[in-house]
Amino acid sequence: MNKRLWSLGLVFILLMGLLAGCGGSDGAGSPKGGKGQAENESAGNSKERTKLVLWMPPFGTGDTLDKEFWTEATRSFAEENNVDLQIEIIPWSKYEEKYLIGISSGNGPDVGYMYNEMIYDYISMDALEPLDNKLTKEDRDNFYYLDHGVINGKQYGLPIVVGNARVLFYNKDLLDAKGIEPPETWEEFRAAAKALTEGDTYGYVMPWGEQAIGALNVGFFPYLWQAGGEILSEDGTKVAFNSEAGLKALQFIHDMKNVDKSMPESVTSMNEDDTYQFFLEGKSAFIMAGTTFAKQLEEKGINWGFITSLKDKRQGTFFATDMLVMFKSSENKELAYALMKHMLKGETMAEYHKKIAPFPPVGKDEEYNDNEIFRPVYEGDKSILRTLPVAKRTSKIYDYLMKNIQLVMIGELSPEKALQDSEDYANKLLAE
Amino acid sequence: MNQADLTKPSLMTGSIRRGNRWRDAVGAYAFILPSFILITVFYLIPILMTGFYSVTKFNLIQKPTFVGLDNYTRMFSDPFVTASIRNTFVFTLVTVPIQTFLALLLAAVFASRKDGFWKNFTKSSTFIPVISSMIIVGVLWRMMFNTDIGIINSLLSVFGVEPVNWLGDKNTALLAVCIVSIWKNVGYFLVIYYVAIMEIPRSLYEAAEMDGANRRQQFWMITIPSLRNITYLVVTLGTIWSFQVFDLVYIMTGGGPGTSTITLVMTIYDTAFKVYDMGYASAISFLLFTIVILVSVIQKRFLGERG
Repeated sequence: MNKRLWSLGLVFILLMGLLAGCGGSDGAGSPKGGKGQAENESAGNSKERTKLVLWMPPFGTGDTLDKEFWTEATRSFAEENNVDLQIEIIPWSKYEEKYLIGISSGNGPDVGYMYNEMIYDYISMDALEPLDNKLTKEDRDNFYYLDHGVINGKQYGLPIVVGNARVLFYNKDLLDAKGIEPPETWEEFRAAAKALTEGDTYGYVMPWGEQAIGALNVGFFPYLWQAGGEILSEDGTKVAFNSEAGLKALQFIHDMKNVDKSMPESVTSMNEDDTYQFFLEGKSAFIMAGTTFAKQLEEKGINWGFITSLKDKRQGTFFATDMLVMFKSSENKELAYALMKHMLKGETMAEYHKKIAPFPPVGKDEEYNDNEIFRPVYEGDKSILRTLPVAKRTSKIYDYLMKNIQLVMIGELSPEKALQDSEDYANKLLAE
Repeated sequence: MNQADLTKPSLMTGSIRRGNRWRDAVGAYAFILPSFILITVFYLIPILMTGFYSVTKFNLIQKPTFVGLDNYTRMFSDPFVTASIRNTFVFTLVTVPIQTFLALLLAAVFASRKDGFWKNFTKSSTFIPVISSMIIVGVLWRMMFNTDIGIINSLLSVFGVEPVNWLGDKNTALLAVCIVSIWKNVGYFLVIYYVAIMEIPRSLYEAAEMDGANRRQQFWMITIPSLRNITYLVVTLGTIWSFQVFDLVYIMTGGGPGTSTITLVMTIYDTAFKVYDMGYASAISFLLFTIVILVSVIQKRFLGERG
């Protein structure tokens, strides 16, 4: 009898769980689901509303939610244009997969956010709508980085999130303790890192155990550019990193770890988060990271400074230019463009930069709302700020290059062989 | 049953007899139809579609174009594919024997103990890794294997061992992943072995004891041979699972350092969802499919039921 009661009870609990699960999925995906639903209901009126779908990634942290922000920010647009705007926030880890499956099944968005490494493939799949004939003269005057959205001669994207430039942070206390000035050239940097390596503290730390190819943006590309090199050839048909500059850059970081021992052995198992922790604990004097890292430094109370870019032959560092794109499958292209304009206008962007994540302005109609300390980075010599070239298969090419560089850092492969091997692999892919 | 029933068949005419058989057949097919439909739709058809796509160039959005056997010939000069095949085989050869033997050993130990609170507690504990989320397992073990502050290096330092760069060294990264995989799977196979051991007739052991066999001899001479068929099941399942390893490696090492931990399923995933080359990914999937079938056939030949 007891056993029966227990089993019945268990079945009941499981059933409740099942029903709760089914019920829960009817509501909106975000925790503030109730508000979202109310939003849709109140924004509507008796006329037939046009449906638009927008996909955005998450930049908010903790209690700031992207979906809430965008719903609020686009409310006036939705009301004025009688639009039923469905906003979905896609987590970074599922980003590419979601787009691929959504678009191939015909359930893609009208407007979406894309980053460099993925945009070319969608252009070559003929999935994106060129925006040249929609941009007005006013628009062209206003936006700063439009040229970063021109691929194959057409304007496929409007830059929306620009910034997070990778700069070289340093721990002021560690440098002051040894009376070392912030370095400007490669030689000064190498010497400083070596001098600052003592006991448990190291001069430099790099994320060579990172799974994502983004590690190259702090690990190799800035050094390649500074040495005067390029990633791809002008016409995008061949890679250009297997050059004198490329070899110099790779040899430089290899020697810093394996010759000078200015980096801990464990860098080959550290991902970006691990390197941040390492620096925040005061175990490394230098680290290259995006300007958004400053927030964590402030919270931890580190006495920090930064250098925009070291100089070898020239200065150069990575910054992100992620785009808003419009899909060919959109049935309301005029409205979709109007939505993009609304999102990118100064007012909206200022709120975004204040509430969700600070980034420099994309257009003249916005004041600078990023961290004041980094103002000179974005208002200074813009040619120092580089983006990745947009071409097909770059994702795979960078992945292979990164794996070869990991082997160089372990000391298993020579820089020459690593670059040659990567070049052979890449050129084969590009030729297909 | 009376006399009349027993003689009934011979009283029936041919057509009525065939009618009964027909009804029985329809009934039988009706019973297996739902499962058959599910298997066809979710297994058979996708496999055939993969085979079709493997001879095309296809990015999911534009129409596929026929490319013959290009995808297959490409595979063997692709450094990612060759590394994946090598790593997947090494991973299988390390994890399957160890987890099989450990599961068997532990099951035998449990079987020889009296029932009680501690026995049940430890037995259940070994199953917790099995039901734990692979993501959490990967993240936690990654922290434990951390070169500078991980608990494993801390423990080793007590014995005077220098810190090992577990996930950052080509030679130890795959080993680390193997350790976690074994830890996660042992509980599952332990349960299977435990049940099987309990089924072995006590009389065999009693007889052996009377003949003077000690515990170790009993284990090798009675327990292990009696579990032959179960071992075949455990090894086959373990092999198939290890060929599918993806999420654990993805979280712990991302395939690195270099290509020392990438696996076949990881390569398929990257090719499909990062490079958008569905045709090539389908071809590699077919390769994996073929390897698994071959290995299963070989295992059946050597470990399968005899006589």
